[in-house]
Amino acid sequence: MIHIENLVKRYGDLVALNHLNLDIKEGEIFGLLGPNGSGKTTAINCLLSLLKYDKGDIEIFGQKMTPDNYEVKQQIGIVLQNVAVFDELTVYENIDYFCGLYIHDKNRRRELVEEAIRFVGLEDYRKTRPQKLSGGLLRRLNIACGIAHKPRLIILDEPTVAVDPQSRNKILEGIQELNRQGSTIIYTSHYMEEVEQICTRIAIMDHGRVIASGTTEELKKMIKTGETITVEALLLTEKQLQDIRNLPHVFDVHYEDQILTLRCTGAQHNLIRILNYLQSQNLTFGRVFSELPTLNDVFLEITGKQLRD
Amino acid sequence: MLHLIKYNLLVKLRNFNMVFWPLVFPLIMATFFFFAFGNLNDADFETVQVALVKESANPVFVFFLDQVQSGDSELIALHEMSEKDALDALSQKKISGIYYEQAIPDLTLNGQGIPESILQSVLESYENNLHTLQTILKKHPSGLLSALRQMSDTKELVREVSLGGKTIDGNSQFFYALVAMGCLYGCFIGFGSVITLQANLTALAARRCITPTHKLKLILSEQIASFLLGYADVIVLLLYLRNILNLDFQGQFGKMLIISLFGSLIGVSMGLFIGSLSRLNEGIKIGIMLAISMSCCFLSGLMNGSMKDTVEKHAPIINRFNPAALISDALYCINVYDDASRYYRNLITLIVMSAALVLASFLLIRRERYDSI
Amino acid sequence: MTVFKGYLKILKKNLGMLLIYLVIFFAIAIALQASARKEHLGTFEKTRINVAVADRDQSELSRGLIRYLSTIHNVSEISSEPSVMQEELFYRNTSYIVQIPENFYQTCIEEEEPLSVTKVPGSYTSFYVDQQISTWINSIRTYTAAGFSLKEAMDASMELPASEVTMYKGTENNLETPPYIYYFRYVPYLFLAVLSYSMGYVLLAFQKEDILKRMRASAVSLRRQNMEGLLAMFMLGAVLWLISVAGVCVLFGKEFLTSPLIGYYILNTALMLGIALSLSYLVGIFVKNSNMLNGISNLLSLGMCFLCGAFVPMSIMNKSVLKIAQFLPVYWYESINETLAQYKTLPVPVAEEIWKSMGIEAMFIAAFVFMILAISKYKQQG
Repeated sequence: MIHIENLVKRYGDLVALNHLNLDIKEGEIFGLLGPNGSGKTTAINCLLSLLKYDKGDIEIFGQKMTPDNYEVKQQIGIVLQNVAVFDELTVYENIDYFCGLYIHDKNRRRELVEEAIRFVGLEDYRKTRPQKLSGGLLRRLNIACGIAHKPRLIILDEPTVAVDPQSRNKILEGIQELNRQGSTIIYTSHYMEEVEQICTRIAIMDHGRVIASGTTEELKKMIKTGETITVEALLLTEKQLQDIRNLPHVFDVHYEDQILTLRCTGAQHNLIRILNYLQSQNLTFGRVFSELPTLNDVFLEITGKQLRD
Repeated sequence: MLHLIKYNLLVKLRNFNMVFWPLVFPLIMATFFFFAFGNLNDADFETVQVALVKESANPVFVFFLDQVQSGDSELIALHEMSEKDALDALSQKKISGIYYEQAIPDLTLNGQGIPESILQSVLESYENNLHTLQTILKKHPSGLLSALRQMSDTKELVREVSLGGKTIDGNSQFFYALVAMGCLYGCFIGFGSVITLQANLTALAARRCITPTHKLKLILSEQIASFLLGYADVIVLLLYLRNILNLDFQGQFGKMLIISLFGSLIGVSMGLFIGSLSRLNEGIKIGIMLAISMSCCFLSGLMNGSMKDTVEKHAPIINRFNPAALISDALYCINVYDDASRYYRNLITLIVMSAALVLASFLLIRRERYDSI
Repeated sequence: MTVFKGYLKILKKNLGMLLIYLVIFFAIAIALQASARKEHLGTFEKTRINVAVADRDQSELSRGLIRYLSTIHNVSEISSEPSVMQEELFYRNTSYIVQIPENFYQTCIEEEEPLSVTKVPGSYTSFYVDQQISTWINSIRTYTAAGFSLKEAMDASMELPASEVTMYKGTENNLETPPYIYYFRYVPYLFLAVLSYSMGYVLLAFQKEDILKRMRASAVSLRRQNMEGLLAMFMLGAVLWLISVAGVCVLFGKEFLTSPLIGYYILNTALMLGIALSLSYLVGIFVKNSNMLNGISNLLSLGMCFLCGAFVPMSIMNKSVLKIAQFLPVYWYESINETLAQYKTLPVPVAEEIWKSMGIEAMFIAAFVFMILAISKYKQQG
């Protein structure tokens, strides 16, 4: 459905998009993950033909994407990072205005607007103006304006920044519902938990390129880490540390401030092995954590950086 | 399209600042003008202080001066004093001049202003009348009495009329220039509205640009909404000038409405066009707009009536294209000259210019992709 | 001095805009003063102007009037077609049209109807032509009332004597209005327009809610922030002032530099600059958006200048309006300017008056600065 090939965008000397390649299939909830500055928003803007790019091909629905390809635009809905509504119009009027840019039939539009309001849960705020809405409600309005016309493709650029947990959940559920109703979703974020939660396929970006892509499981299989074990309040001698390093399946050991962090490849009984060792040494310790790899780990291993800065 | 215009209007009308200032500012300026010029023609001069120094007897002259002093307009106030005192007072500007009572009266002045002109006119008047009477005495002495009677029965001898037969006020042109400024002021409305369509400036604009609605429709709807607002402001101004301040706008209101329609259109279009120049930063764009509108108004005589004449003599082509000049001139044609052909010529120029500006704006914005957002 | 530097940075960024304003308003001021010099009201040299006569009567009397006028002005005869007359006026081929009706004698002399004339709007010199025509008609009426024949009356009316006027040759006074007086008359408009627009725009940038909050929470006291802001704007104003003073020196060179009153003129403009600066700053922290800024700036510059005699000379303005205008700072500047124009050296009482007026200008500045500090304090607490 969407095909981006060799996209290059430079701002002077800075290369924002470095031969970006991306393919998105119909029906997916596609996540674009990456730290700030990796080029996610730039890629989206180029995709929408808002931004000039230096090289590359962009196709949507099989057609070349240009600023006046109105047929394609008709089927896209966007929810941008910054709230894009008229301060002077009420909630209802805002949704009606934007829907009206896509749907010209008055009656159908009225239905769609009502549906959109119900969908985001703003029934009580129809006549309220954006200045009086809290951050979360404002985001919901932002979304409603972008999806009221039931587009085939919905692009959401960091829609949950600065949003309270309740609204955030509602938003994520809403996105999944929209997908169920038939829209393809592109979702960019730097919050990996969200992406992990709802996306069917994910691409991780850094420095203007896709550095890994696939489903969550596929991504996690790409890395060595199968398990991360953390033991707190532990006193170790140098010898003991060395022993732990030599335990099977352990490939990374970090010990600081009496906290031991182990990374092991995926295998069974890693935790039991380490606990047995500690017991054999008669060591006391505080809390123990065992975590499965997260996307952050994926990113960390591939780039050597943290996802969340 | 109607959907777009309706919402554009709604957005503008609910924005207090966008509605209030373009409406109120020209009204306040008109009121200021009214007070500044209002009574210019009723030469509201202060009574001129003048000394009378007796050199040798000339009762006729003194009688004449007394008449002037006690006349309705209180033009002068006489003070008898010695020459030395008079010269002192003159140098300290306590009086504006010294009349010397002698066979052939003399006037000494210390400056070149209106009071001095008045004193000179009074003296001239005396000498003219004297000369007249002397001539009559020489040639037809019997008619002296009738002559005197005639002289004391002064009336308005010259009356200013407009060529269409209506009387005019020499200051009307300031107000016509003010209406032109009111029309051009719509440029701020147009400017503000096109900014909301530039995707590199706001997220709202980006969202609007991403829709399948044709860019031209978006621009046109913005322009129409801005124009309606601007035009309404100008109509209010016209009504204020005509009906409340009762100025020289008594000509055909319909024609005035038409000319201000296109005047507003040009103002709004100009703002739209300048706003579309996306490569410049906002401050500079506003500066350009102000510069253009102020210069246009200035060249059409807003601050100084004779500016338009100077332009006419040295660079008349400017007057043919300066929208402010076109508008104020057309108003003149309606209210004063009754010159239909020139009116239509101005009108057509205005129409063509506005269409060109709208087209230019469209071309600038329509297929825009930005270097950076 | 971070606030100060911050302001300067923003000013630098908007340099283009500042330049545009400077050039435009400076050009306007120069053009205005050039044309005002020509239009000098109250001159005694009765200048010859172009008068056109549309003679529908073609009689001895009308010829007489034309003959008389030709001795004083450049008279041309034109058709009495309205469109022709309009063209002549519009293209300024003539400044004054006399429409002599048919039966001139009957209408004007016997029935004493006024003569219809049309003038170019706003021209002050045409006022004199009214006088001259009135005088002529009046004497014709008088002579004919006394029994003169028409021809005799006209001949007699041709010999109207000129009057003897002596000019007092005092050493203190200016006999001729110095030409640079007009330049100084428009200086307030220049200052107010440039400063209120540019400063207003810069200050608006600082009005953004978040920036304001951040500044209020900073370690720099509010008073100091304001002072630094004023200082930055003061530098802008100083540059503007230097340019305007340079302007008058360049345009009028020696004549201005050798005037004994040069100190007063310059001091007056410096005070005016202070007024414009403080007023613009006050407006800048008060307005909330650019529409409001435009409206208020225009009102302040254009409106106040009109009311205080910058465009229409004070001498012909409505006196009661002028009385009210005393509440406006530009009034005092203009009145000092007009007074200075009349003198070469100042007699003591006049000098005292001028110092008093300058004191009032200074008081305005102090009042504005005080208001600036008070308002920002209020905003901080509110």
